[in-house]
Amino acid sequence: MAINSRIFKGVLLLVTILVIVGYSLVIYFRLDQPVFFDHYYDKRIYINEEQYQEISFNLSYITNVHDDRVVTQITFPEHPEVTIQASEYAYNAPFNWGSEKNKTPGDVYGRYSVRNVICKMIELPQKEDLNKIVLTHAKVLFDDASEITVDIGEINLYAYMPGEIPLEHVSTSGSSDGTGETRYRLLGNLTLTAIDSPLMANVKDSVQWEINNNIPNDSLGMTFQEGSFLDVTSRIGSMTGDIISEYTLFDIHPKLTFVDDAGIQYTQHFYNIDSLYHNYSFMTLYKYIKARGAI
Amino acid sequence: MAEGYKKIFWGIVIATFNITLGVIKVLPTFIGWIVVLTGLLELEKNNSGEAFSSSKKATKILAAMSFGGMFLSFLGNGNVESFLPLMFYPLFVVVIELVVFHKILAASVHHFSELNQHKTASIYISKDRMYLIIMGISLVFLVISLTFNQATMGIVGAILAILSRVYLLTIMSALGKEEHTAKDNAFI
Repeated sequence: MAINSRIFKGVLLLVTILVIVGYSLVIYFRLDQPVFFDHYYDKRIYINEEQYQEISFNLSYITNVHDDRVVTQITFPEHPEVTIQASEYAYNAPFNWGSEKNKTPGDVYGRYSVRNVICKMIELPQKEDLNKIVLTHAKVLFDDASEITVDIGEINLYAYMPGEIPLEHVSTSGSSDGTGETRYRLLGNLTLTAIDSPLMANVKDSVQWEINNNIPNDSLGMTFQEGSFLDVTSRIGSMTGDIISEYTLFDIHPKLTFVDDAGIQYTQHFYNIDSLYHNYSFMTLYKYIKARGAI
Repeated sequence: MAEGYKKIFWGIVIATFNITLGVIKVLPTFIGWIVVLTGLLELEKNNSGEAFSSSKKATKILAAMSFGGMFLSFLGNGNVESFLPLMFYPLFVVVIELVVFHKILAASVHHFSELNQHKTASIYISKDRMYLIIMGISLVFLVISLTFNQATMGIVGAILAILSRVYLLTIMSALGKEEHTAKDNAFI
């Protein structure tokens, strides 16, 4: 019986130690407040368009696994005129009687939960200042009336007017491995005069893009002949292996400006630069939170 | 003696498989522990000294904890773990359960030794050891699962805990059938 008594004491001691370590770890892993990912989005808004257009984007954040608060409202202190409807429920029924309501949304990874807030713009700002709107901070209101102001990255709105351009779209392809290609045929001689993409600098570790196999800036000033092809290729994927750049969410639309022989200016956006679907895990989320300095 | 072990056996059955009719628990877990307690009182009657006193104390705590746990699950909407101080509550219940049954087995072994039934005593020593090992492994899995909110480990831990209960049932049923009177010719 002496051996059993030793095993018994050993089990109790081991469990006590594990519980103390467990409590310490749980307190250590606990977030003081939700951590929003960095989002870099270019949002296209059609102007001179009478039709209804839905402009929406997702803001994702990490929170503690048992945090049952839900985001109900997001406002932008820098641009109060931008009004959005925010919800964590994908199917936003006006009256939610079902049992779904009791379930806090989000994907659980160990002690963390990744949540997604669907933001739909309900009031668009005045057309003339549209291009000046840059959203970097958000005031987030939860259903328990708590409120936090967070850095969300950068969301640029831009006005878009469909117009004629002597480029004929040939094909667009994209693959889940992060490569994409868009091909155009030139219907006239065009000279590339400018590349505008203010957000590109923020995702330079995750995005490689080329115009006819050249680094975009090397193509500046180049003239593309009528009948030739313009290939814009993109490759998405963290090159540095840095967790922050890997988990940055983006959808960037670089703007290329061309001038034809007659001196008329045209602009064309590219839409193939979009962050990949992420496979999160508890350990990678922990690494991300640590790299962000949240714990 | 046999009566006491039988009561403990049925107490464990009730505590393990709570009988629920609709939304009402007819026989909640704490009733099971109270039945175990009456079994222990029975055993004590036939046993001089305080051999079962520590198991009795632990069973009372266990009954109180399960009773409290019922209200906790009403309050916390079934999600006790979300409240940090109570995170390891389910684990504490399992630990006290381990104390109760190890102490019962230890007292029974002591009782058999006193009756000079050394062979029987050694059988229950090894059964107790087996029970301690299964529960120990189960507890380790449960702590890790609760710490990291890891479902797979929690399932393994829970399966092991149920296995240990079933094993305990077989032990209690065997104890109920043992000879509980002194034997002079029993030697190892």
